[in-house]
Formats: sequence, structure tokens, C-alpha cells
Amino acid sequence: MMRCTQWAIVAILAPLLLIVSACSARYTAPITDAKGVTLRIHAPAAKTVSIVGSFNRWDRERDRLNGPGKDGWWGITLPLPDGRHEYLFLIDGRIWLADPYAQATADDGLGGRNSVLYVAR
Amino acid sequence: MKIPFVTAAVILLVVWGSASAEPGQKAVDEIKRSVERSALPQEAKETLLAKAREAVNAGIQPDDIAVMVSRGLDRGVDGKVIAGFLDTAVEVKAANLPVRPVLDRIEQGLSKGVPPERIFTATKRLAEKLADADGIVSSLVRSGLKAGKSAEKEAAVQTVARALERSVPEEVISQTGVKARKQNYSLSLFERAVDTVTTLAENGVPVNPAARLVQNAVDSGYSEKELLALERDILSGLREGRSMDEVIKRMESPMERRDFERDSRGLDREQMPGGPGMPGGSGSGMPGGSGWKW
Repeated sequence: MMRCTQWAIVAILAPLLLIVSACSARYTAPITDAKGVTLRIHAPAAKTVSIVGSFNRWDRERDRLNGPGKDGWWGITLPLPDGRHEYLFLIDGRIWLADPYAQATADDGLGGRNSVLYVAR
Repeated sequence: MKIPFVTAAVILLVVWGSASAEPGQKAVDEIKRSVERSALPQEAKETLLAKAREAVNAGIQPDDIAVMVSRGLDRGVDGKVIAGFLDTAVEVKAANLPVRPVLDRIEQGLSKGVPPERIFTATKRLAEKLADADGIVSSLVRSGLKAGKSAEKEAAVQTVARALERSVPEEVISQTGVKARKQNYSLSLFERAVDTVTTLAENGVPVNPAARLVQNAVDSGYSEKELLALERDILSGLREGRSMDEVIKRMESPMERRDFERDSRGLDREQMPGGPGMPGGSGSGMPGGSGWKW
């Protein structure tokens, strides 16, 4: 009985810790220049961070952010064409995070929401 | 001397041909590999491969088919359901509608682990909205809204479909089109205006005030870049915690000022210049591919 309770506590706490570490992520607004669009996220506890979106056919592996730096920031510069792009960050291959500094958010048509980025040079 | 020249030309053509076919062939090979190594029964493998071949022949990019097939199989989606995804894409392509949003939704749903039935339903709904959107855009073009390249119409259809999916009423879309036509604007400005209404509605601004604001902006001669800036300003105002009324009023004043300035100069609305063009979304489109080996 005691062991069951301990396992139940672990089962509840583990996902909670994961969510807390994801929620502690900080961001900066996307920056567009001649090289492309730079996106950053502060997620010191993350092991991997990917950006997944309409520009990479929603591939979870293709565009991994570099990091973490000593300050816990991850970043990537993508050569995106002009136009409207939808995306999300994927932390440790499990947690989908919208970018709170995105220009807008959009219904994904599947019951969730995506971040929206307009590139217009 | 002639013979070596002809030989060199032939070799160049062959090398160029094989190099240009390579990316598509790579995707076709990936489809075959994914299907072969899957746990599907032999008959189901053959059916899925035939469906993939049909999709390639219909002009869907092999890379997209490879993503749908391999991602679907990796996630344990039934072969029949994957074939259903491909069928929907082929139907949309055959109806001469933009297929990119449909492919995007399927690829996105599979990547996010959305239940296949939900992806299927959402994709079918999107296909219907694309058909409705095509009707609206075609009717506006027939009634005089300037349409440039086919990519411009494709982008407009995609944006109108997105608006319809987000419950922006057809009437609002058509009214915006009529206003753009009266201003002698192009389809791409209409597309930007509908996109702005949709984005505002998706981010908390009720449809009617959003539509009124954007339609007033169109009346005031806003360019595409100015419409985009308007959208950004409203959203950042809301993010900063300003009230909806305050944000909308702040946006309306520059329009009123602009109308006043224009009226003082005695310019007729139809004489106002349009704004610089901005490219719209990208559509798919591939040669109906059949140089690839199956």
C-alpha cells in the first residue's frame, strides 16, 4: 500500500517537474536580417530543443537549436523565405511550446495553436 | 569533330537529367523502403505503394508523400488511413485547388501525434473550405478584382479558406473583396486584408470590429505593408494589456487623419496609389512526375 502511494506521487510529480522546467523557458522575439530569421529560447534544463513548423514539413529533428550556452539560451537562424510561417518549439522531443513573443498565434485546425511568423524583407 | 560534340551534349543531357530527377527519386526510394519495412500485410503494402504512385502522378511532391507515408507508418497509423490522406490530397490537386495547406495539415498532425481520425476529419473539412474559398475568389475576380499570376490566386484561396475555417463570415470576406475592387486594388491586397481580419479574430478581436477596421483601412488606401503593420500594432497593444476599445481607437485615428488629408487634397479614392506588393503563401506544384522508378 505504502509503495503504491510512493509510485503514485512519483507518477504525478515527474510530469509536473517536466512542465515546470518547460514553463521556466524564456524567449526573445524573432529577429529577421539578411542571413535569415533568428529565434531564441531560454531553456537551461532542456536536453534538446527543435523548431518545428510549416517551413520544414513539421519535421521534429531537422532544425535543432544550438545550445544551451552558458547562460542557458538556445538559438537558431533559419533562411526563411518571405511569407507566413507557423511553428512551435519542441523541448526534449516531448513538450510543444508556443513562442510567446511570436507576432501572432493561429488555430492549427487540429485542436491546438501555433505561433505565427511573418517574414517580409 | 561533330561526333564528339554530339556525344558530349548527350552525356551532359543524361547527367543533367539524372541529377534533376535525383531528389524525386530519393523520395520515391524512401517511400518504398518505409512501406517494405513496415509491419503491414503484403496486400496492404501493395495498395499503399499504388496509392503513393497515383499521388506522384497527380503532381504531389514526392517529398511530401514520403513524409506522410514514412511518418504515418512510424507512428503506427493504419495503411488504409494513410491511403485516405493521399486520396484527399489527390482530390484537392485534381480539383485545381492549392494542395499545400492540406499537405501541411497532414504532416503537422502526424508530427504532433494527433489521432489519425482527427487529422482525417480536419483535412476533409479544410478541403471543403478550399473549394468554397475558390468559389468566392473566382467570383471576385470575375466581378473585376485584379488578379495577377496564378500564385496570387492560389495564395488568396488559401487565406480565404483559413478565414472560413476560423468562422469569418463569407459576407465579410466578400465585402472586403468589393471594397478592394472599388479601390482598384489587386488580389494580393485583398488577401492581406482577409489575412489581417482572420489573424485579429484568432487573437481575440471580435470579427465585426476587426472587419470594420480592416475595411476602413482598405477604404483609406492602406498598402499591404501598412495592413501588416496595423495587425502588428493591434496585437502588440493587446499584449501590452491595453483594452480592445483603446487599441481600436488608436488605430482608427491615423485612418481618419489620412482620409482628411486626402479629402483636403481633393483626391478621389480611386486615384489613391496602391501599396507595394508582397508575396503570398507558397503553393505546391510539381511536374506530374513520372520519370521515377517504382
